Amino acid sequence: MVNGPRATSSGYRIEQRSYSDIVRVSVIALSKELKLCAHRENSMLAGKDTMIRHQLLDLYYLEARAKLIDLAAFLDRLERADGEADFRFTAFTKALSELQSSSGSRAERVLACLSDPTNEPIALATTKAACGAWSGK
Amino acid sequence: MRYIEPHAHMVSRVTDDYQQMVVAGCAAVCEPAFWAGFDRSSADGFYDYFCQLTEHEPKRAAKFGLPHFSWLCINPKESEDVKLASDVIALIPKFLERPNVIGIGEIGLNKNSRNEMKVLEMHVDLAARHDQLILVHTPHLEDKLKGTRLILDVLRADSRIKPERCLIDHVEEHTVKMVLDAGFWGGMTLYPETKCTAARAVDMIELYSGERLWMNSACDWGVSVPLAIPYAALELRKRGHSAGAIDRLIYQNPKRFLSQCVKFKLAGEHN
Repeated sequence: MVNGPRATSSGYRIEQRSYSDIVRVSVIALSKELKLCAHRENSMLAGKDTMIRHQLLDLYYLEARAKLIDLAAFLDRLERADGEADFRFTAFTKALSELQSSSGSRAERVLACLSDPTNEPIALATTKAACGAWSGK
Repeated sequence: MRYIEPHAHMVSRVTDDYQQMVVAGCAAVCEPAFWAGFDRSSADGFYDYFCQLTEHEPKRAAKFGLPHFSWLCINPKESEDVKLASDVIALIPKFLERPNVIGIGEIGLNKNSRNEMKVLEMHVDLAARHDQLILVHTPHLEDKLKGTRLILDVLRADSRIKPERCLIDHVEEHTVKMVLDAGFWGGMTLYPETKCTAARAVDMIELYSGERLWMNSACDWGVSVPLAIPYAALELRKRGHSAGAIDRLIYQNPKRFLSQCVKFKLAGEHN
């Protein structure tokens, strides 16, 4: 056993551990993975998340990062452009604030911000299309 | 991998799509009646469309060994004209006996207007009188939340309607709970921009359980992906779900709902 960190050929530094430590850590990791697998097997009909946060970050971080930058660039583009924005931007800005909320159900609340909140049928459908935000009319 | 595509507008797709779906493991495809992208001028246009859905399209699918089933209705996008809708609905009973017709759909709302509500009620009555399964389209984007509430109100107001025989399609995070809580099935439509991504669909499955949920591509003449379900299966696998769990969601669940109609049989199954 060699104490203390050492540099690897890739430049990373790793802790040197005894074989027993390595075996112990591996057994714990394997045990956790097996529990996770058993959980996953039953998850589809049980209604449970399957992955821990670190795994979700591995899977989705870069995609979410790209979408975040796209959003920032979209806002910059709108700001550079001339003319007035409309109700869509108002709804969009309100929905954006939901992303900073600390509680869950952000997707549900964002969708609610972009939805017609009324309950009564409209008198007549004058168009077939939807635009993605409620105009208030 | 095997899967059922429970909602696809194949009349709008090229034959290559059939081939690729079968190669990917598709065991059956179900096609609800849909808006053509333009308004048909008379009930005669719908008669021809219903013939296409019940005669021509099953033959096209059969070339690839794929069972094809249809749902019939006048789509909510053409429901503002109540007279036309009445004429079209009057045509439907004679088609209900055809071997590939499994129910009434996709009925529902588009802009949540009073006339759309009337036509929805007419469709629900038709389904109840003929003991048909129901497939419901919920509106797009800003109209979905309100439309889903109104649709649930209409269905719950008719005591003849059994929630377990109705699937409310195109659910998203703000509507899935109310649909499932009311005892209905929910459909998640996998579209590149509107509706739902595969990742969000898996979120909803994990949050609400997949017991009464299915996924579909709803591929049509617009931007859509006929292989959206196999891609969603890949997303499920990446999220750590087992092959058995994936099979339950993309094959057994739709089979369980659709088999409530005795005419829904997969290849090799017989009455």
